[in-house]
Amino acid sequence: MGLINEFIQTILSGIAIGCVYGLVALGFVLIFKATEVINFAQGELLMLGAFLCYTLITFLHFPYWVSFLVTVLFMGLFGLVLERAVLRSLVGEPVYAIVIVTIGISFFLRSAVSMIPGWGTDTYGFQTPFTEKFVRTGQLVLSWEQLSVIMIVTALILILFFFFRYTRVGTAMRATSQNQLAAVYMGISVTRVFSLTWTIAAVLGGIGGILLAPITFVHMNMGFIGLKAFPAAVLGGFRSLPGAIVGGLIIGITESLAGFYLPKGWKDIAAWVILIGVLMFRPQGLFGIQEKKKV
Amino acid sequence: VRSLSDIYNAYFSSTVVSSYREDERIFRTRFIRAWFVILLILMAFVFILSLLGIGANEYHYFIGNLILVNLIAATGLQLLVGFTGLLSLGHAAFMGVGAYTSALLITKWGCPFILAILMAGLVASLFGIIVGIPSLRIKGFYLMVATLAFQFVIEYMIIHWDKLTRGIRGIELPTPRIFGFSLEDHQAFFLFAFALAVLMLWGAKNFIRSKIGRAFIAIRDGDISAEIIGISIFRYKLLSFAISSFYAGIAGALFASLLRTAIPEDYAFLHSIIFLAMVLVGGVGRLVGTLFGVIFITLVPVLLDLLVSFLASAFDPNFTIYLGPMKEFVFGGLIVLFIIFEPEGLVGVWIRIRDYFKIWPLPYVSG
Repeated sequence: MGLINEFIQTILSGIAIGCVYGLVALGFVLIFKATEVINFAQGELLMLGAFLCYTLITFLHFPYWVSFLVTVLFMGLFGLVLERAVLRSLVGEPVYAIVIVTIGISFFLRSAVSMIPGWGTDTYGFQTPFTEKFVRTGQLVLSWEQLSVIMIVTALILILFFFFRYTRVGTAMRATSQNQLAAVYMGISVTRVFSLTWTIAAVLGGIGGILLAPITFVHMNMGFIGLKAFPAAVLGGFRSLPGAIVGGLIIGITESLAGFYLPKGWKDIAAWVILIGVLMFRPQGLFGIQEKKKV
Repeated sequence: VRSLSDIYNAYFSSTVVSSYREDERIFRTRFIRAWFVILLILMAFVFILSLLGIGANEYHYFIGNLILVNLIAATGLQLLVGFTGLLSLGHAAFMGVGAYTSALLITKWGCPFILAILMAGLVASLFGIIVGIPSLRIKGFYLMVATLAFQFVIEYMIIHWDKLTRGIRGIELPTPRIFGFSLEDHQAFFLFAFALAVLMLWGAKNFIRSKIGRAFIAIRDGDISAEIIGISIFRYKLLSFAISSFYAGIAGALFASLLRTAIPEDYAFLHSIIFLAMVLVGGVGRLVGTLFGVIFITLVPVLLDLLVSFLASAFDPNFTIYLGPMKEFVFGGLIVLFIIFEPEGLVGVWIRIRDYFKIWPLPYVSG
């Protein structure tokens, strides 16, 4: 029984962390689908969200859910401004230049956070309604922290699904990612879709940060989680929203199992080993479609 | 009757080429060659002066060595990114392969310095070929991901293969010696590194102006079109990876010997990005641009250090703590601003200046 419990618990913590990977991967995929840009600052958006929430809870003594909401609003605004100020002027530049710009943004954000008084390079934690609470079923002990991550991410996925499926704006966004020119002819404002994409991606990053904070704590390098979410997005095909979540879960569970059953260090490299395998055997990912090439 | 400006243009700055031979010349005009010679003479002058103890000191030569090492590595990346159009996010890993190859050869088998450098380049290019193999099937975005994966796998291997690489403690190297001469001080090292860098740059220029380089450029500008006119894409992509990582390997070996130690953090992901930034800030697809980019990106942190220590001594010693992360801050900001406002890179500025000086003494009469 012990072994099975251990196994289930490892899987569960893998699912919880995998959900966060999935959220960050969703951010990658959303931006990539709309603008063909890989946003390497996605992890830093997550870090920023975590720091904001930490500040609201610890210094301003806001309740958890209020902080959650304020962080989400602020991150949305931040994504909007970022797109307006930096990325809009880069439309038409070669993709690698924009990719480097997003890496530049990530450096910029990380060092900016480390220079802000009260944030800096230390590690912080904050209290949530889920801290130190557990559910016991038989011999199995499940922590609320992990369960809450899984539930919130599931809710978010459902919201996103309905948004893209049934709302006017969501349909416009899907149309833009299929064919920008045709979308313009249909009267869709592509620039507005780009802004909205960055806004949603920043919000997802921020929520990812809030959810990750109780698991790994808040510090300036927590954005490096982006480097794990990235293989997750590739695994899912980089163009598929469900793929990103599934990829995140696979990476999370594998990592968790590798951390438990394999020698030390394998945990950190597991995502990349999976990635190399994917690139070798199925480069288009699990949910991707092989694109036809034209001259 | 030829006007004065015609004669001047014909002799110094002819912009019209009438044969392939002229088109492939290393220095397009006599003017550029003249400036190059002047630059060399100036450098020799500074070098001799510092031998007498005037002007540049050991620290300056150390910075100079850093620039040369980065120049060799960035030139390799320029060949891959700028000329073949393959984006690599793992250039520092190739450099790491070179550094550890040379470090192991020197410390375990007592291999001579020069041979170790050459072997470092060869081993790195072997790795380059392995990473390049997927380029048969994948390209663009996915190839970039593959190089990213390579970066992390190499980083992991260096840190965790403790028996071979001594993990994060790194490998210490003895003072490099060539043909009995010790390269103990940075000035002597500079002389060697300078010769090597000139050789490597010359090699890169020759690659570009030969069949190989034209094949690279054809692949960059349209790979399917290149295949149709008879270029074996796979072979040339592999070749590009091999050459690029050869440069990185040599630079890595040189870097490890310069610091007398090979440690994993010198070859981390961040450095891959820095090399890419050098190429981008300098100007993509221009060899001269690499030089500008390397000098610029290498000097920015040095100058910031100077500024911070000056501010700290002038006002408040705590400045160094607050402004410690300044380097990354400025670095990130610079990349963003450069690509927004000067997408051609420093080479764009250079071309504007050069075009001005091409007709410099007689600006208005040129026709």
